[in-house]
Amino acid sequence: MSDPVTHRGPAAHDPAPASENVEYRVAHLHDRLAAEELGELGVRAEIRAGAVVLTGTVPSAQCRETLLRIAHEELAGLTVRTDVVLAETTGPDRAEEL
Amino acid sequence: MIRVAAVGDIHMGADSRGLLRPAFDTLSDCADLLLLAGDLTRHGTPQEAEVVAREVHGLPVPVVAVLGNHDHHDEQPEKVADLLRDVGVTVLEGEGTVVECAGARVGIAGAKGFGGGFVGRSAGEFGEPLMKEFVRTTRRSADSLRTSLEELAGQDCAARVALTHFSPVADTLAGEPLEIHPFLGSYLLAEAIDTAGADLAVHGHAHLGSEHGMTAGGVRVRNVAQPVIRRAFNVYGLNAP
Repeated sequence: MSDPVTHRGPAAHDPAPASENVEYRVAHLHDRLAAEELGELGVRAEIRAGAVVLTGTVPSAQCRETLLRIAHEELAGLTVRTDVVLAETTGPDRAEEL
Repeated sequence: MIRVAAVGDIHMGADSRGLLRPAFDTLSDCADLLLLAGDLTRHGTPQEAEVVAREVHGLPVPVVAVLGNHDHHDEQPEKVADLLRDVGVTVLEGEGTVVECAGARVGIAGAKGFGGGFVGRSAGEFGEPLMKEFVRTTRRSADSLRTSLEELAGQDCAARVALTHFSPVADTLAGEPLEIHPFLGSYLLAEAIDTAGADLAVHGHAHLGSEHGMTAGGVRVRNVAQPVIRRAFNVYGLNAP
């Protein structure tokens, strides 16, 4: 996972197949996250500073591990950075009076 | 003061057992009822619903819920709702309920809601049958929310709360990409709330959104998606007359 992400030019100047296009690969990652065991729609994957950056909140540590596994499978060969946090499970320290 | 605890988008699965229960066990100290704003499961399977049911079984306060889009994914929303009802949760879809708590009657109107977007940037009931059905689905949900709130108005409630999964306002979507707002809520829900009147509107669904908002008619809106509130639940104090 070390090749930096680079934007490709128009197809007329770049014979690379669509399957290698980073944008579509990120889209397919979103599809897998929703369709597979995570059912995850709330994680954002965006191209930043030559890497695919994953951000969001997941319900459990196991979900985060699964997320990272799928991301590394789907984006093999690309630099992936993650900033995915676990949902907080503590109660509030005060109420909001309306 | 009626203390309303609320959370949505807890997305429970087999690995979630017991995660929220310690916080829920403190509810009797800080709240009079608990609202669950949908997306209680990841895929809407009965197995996931059983995890949720176990998490809220026997809580010291009444629990009222709506389902979310995730709870529909396995296409068994009635089964999910029944499993929650089996442990005493009141699951609402286009209907209202009255909860007696804190010496007062609290009316809750619940509907999942649906998308479509917000005024000036919304889908219209026009064109292909699928497009029309999309908007009509939201309209039906909003109509049921309005009717439920109106019915609660005649039931001597000290406060009325609108509980949805999808958002009634764009305010609480701040942080979400603008492009997906039409998939996160609809102004039709807010119009229903403003038409019938409510003291508070609670929703989930928008994980990247923000907590505080208000309808055009002045009803306070709170996005209680767990990733937004960063807690097991939040509590809102409503002044009862």
